[in-house]
This record gives sequence, C-alpha cells and structure tokens, in this order.
Amino acid sequence: MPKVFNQLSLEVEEYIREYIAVNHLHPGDKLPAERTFAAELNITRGTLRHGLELLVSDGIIENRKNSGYYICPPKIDRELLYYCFPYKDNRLILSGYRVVPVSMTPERIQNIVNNILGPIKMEKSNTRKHLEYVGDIPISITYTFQEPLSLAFIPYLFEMDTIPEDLTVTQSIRVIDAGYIEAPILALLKLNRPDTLLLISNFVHYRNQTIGVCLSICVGTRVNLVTEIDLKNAAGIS
Amino acid sequence: MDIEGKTLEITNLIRQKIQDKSYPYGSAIPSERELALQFHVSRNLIRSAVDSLIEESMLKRVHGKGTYVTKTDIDDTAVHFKGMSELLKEAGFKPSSKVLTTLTRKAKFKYSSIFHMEEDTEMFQIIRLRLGNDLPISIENTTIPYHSIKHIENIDFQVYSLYDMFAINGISIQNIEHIFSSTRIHGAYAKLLNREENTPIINIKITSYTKAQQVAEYTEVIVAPAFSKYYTDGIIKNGIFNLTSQLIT
Repeated sequence: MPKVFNQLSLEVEEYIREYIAVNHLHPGDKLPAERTFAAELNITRGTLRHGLELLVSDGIIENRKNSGYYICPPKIDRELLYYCFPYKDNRLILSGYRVVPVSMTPERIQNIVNNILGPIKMEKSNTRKHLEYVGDIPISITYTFQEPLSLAFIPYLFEMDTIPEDLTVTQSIRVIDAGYIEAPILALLKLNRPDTLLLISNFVHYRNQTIGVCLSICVGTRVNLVTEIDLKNAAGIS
Repeated sequence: MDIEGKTLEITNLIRQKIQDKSYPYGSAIPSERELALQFHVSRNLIRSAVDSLIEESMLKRVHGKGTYVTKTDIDDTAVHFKGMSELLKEAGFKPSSKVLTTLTRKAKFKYSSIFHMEEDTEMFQIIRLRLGNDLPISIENTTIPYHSIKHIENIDFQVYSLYDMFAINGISIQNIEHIFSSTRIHGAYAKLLNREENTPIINIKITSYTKAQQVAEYTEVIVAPAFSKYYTDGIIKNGIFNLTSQLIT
C-alpha cells in the first residue's frame, strides 16, 4: 500500500464508511473503539485517526470527548437551483424543511446588501430573516431582500413556489470563517467544533436590474448542495 | 516569398498532416528541429507555425515532452464541454496539472455503490493537483472503470483531459451532477494547497453520466478559496442551472 498523498487516510475513510453502511449504523450510534479498527486494518492508531478525521471534517461522524465516535444525522440534500426558492424544492420540503424568524443580521450580510442595493433601497426592501431547519437540525440562516420597486410587479419574490420567467439568478458559494459571524447568530446554528460554514449568495436580476438578494450562512457539513447539469441544455447560453 | 507567406505555408502543411491523420490525435508531432530539416526552413519559422496551431487548439505544447495533437474530428458534446482549463485560460491563468498518484484498484464498497458495479471491478484512480500560473488551485481525485478507456495506464493526463479520452473511446457524457459541501483540509493536501492544517474548504463531488445513465466518472475535488469562483459560480436562466465552467463560448 503506497503511503503517498493521504492515500492511507483515504483507505481508512473508505473502510469506515463501509463499516457504517454494512452494519446499518444509525445517527447517534457509536463506532467501535479506535484500537479495534486499528487492529483490523493492521495500522497504527495515529494513521487510523487521520482517516477518522476526514469523516469528522465531512460531518459523517462526531468525536465526543472521552467517549468515542458517533454517527451524525445524514446530510440534507438541497437543490442549488432552488436555493432562494425553497418552496419549489420538493425533496427539501419532504425531508421536513421549516423556517423560524430571527431578528439579528450579521454585519457582513448588511455590508454586502448595502453594496448591491444601496442604503435607501436596502432600508425599504422587503426583508426576511429566517433560521432554516430540517426537523430539529438548523441547516442555515437565510436573509432575503427584495428591492421595493419590484414588489409592484413581482410580489413576494422569495416566497413563491414558482420562479417567474425572465429572471436570471447569479449564484456563488464561498467558504467563510465562523470568526466573521457574530457569536449570538452562530449560537442559533448550534455548531459543533468541526462544522464549517458556506456563504451562498444569490442575486436576482430582472431586465438588467438587481431586484433581489438572498444571502445564506449555511452549515456546509450538514448539507449536500446538489445541482444537475444537462450538457445538451447547456448549449446556447453565454 | 516573404517570411509571413512562408510561415503560413508551413502552418497549412502541418495542419494538413493533422487533418489527414499523418500526425494522429493523441501523438506528438516531430520536434521543431526535425520539422525544420524536413521543410528546409528555420526553427524560428517552425515555432511560429506551431504557435499558431496551438492558438487554434489543434496542438498542445507540453513542457519537456513535446507538442501533441489535440484536434479530433469526433463530434461529441464532451468535446464542446468548456472545461476548467479553458475557463482559467480566459481568466489569464496558465493552467497545468501535476499527477500526484495513479493506481489501479478494485471498486470495493465505495465505488461499487457509486458506479453500480461489482466490488471486484477494476477501477482506475488518478489524483491530480491543478495549478494556474503555478499557484495551487485544487486537488481532484478521479475514478473511472479501468476498462472504459483503452490503454489508460499509458495516457498522459498532463496532456489530455478525461473528456478528450471519453470522446475518443466513444463515451458521451449526457449530464453531470455536482454536490457541494464543506469540509476541512488535512495533511499532505493542506501543504499542497498552501492551507493551514484543519482550515475549512469547499469540497465538490462530481458524477458524470452517459446517455444510458451509467456512471462514467466520479471525482472529488477540494478547491483553494481564492479559486472557488471557477468551480462554484453559476447562473440560473429559464429555470436551468449552469456552472460558469460549463458555459459554451
């Protein structure tokens, strides 16, 4: 077995994923002790830990201090296409999606919206602030801002379960350091130590005007943001 | 004849040899020195002719190896697939890649579930570091069924993209699924991407399907934050999602 480029850690990771699946372990179940796996694989506990670390970082297992490794809840599948129109995302709705209003807005989010819409439009925007859950698990905090003039022809843009034609949405995903987000806001997301955050930005354009902004702080270790690209359909858009 | 006319003539001669397959797709053309002798012209002139064919994407120069024919007449969606390399080129980066490791292995549990194949199916796995202007961009861990591409162990993935290989082996990619999540980077990968141990990073799982909805390729990518936009930015138009890297020029 070549010991290059994390290869051994990847093999340990594969082995443990298989162990979890084959033994039908459920969220909250405990993995066998490190020494058991290390002996089975004939590797040191140090090497084993590197493999376990990959699974912890991916949000598959969690390491409870002085207790061991436990299976995390499965990741939530969410369509990137409908990120700012969650009521159109059937799979997300069926998995138990719900929202709870929040009052605080991170400064970082304020600044982005201010830059895009300007202070006056931002002030007059139809603003929604929600903590998004699937079941009891917080997956993200999402802020939507709809520019006031557009309310006349597209009321409640971000609450629709259909996406109006002629809209173009530009989207980006960035990893963000939890250190940039105010502690009380992070507390709402009930982050565990290994969890990592993504900032998902959606800008909605209508006839060359930006009419809406949807910014979401998403726990990247709890979701799978899915997108399907049909190469035949991709033609002709530039 | 003036020098420009002569260069054009040589360019056309080489282009002709590519088109009639005297210089077949996937092979290296003779060296500049050999071509200069053959056509009785200077090496400088050969270099300008080759440069213009590189501009046309008929040839690709690989440092320390030679100049390869990258023009193929196989018309396929995969050939039109505007890959990451083209996107980086447009952004002014000189893309390259470094093969970290290749191995032939059994599918085992993980890949048998992804590819819906028996656990003892032979798979080919290749882990590459992608660079732009020698800055580390991403680490891409790709797995494909060993037998889907002929002589896979001899293919130079520093020259040819996987999509080139699919095209010449008659594999047509119909649709591609991307799954974005976040994780933390560790060990050798952290060093390769110039990140501190355990810092957050975006990971992407990419599954390519053929027309028959068989999985042709599965890749796990981790991306250096400075280059996230090339991998994650997309546009939704008429209800269809497109990644910037897949838009056609």
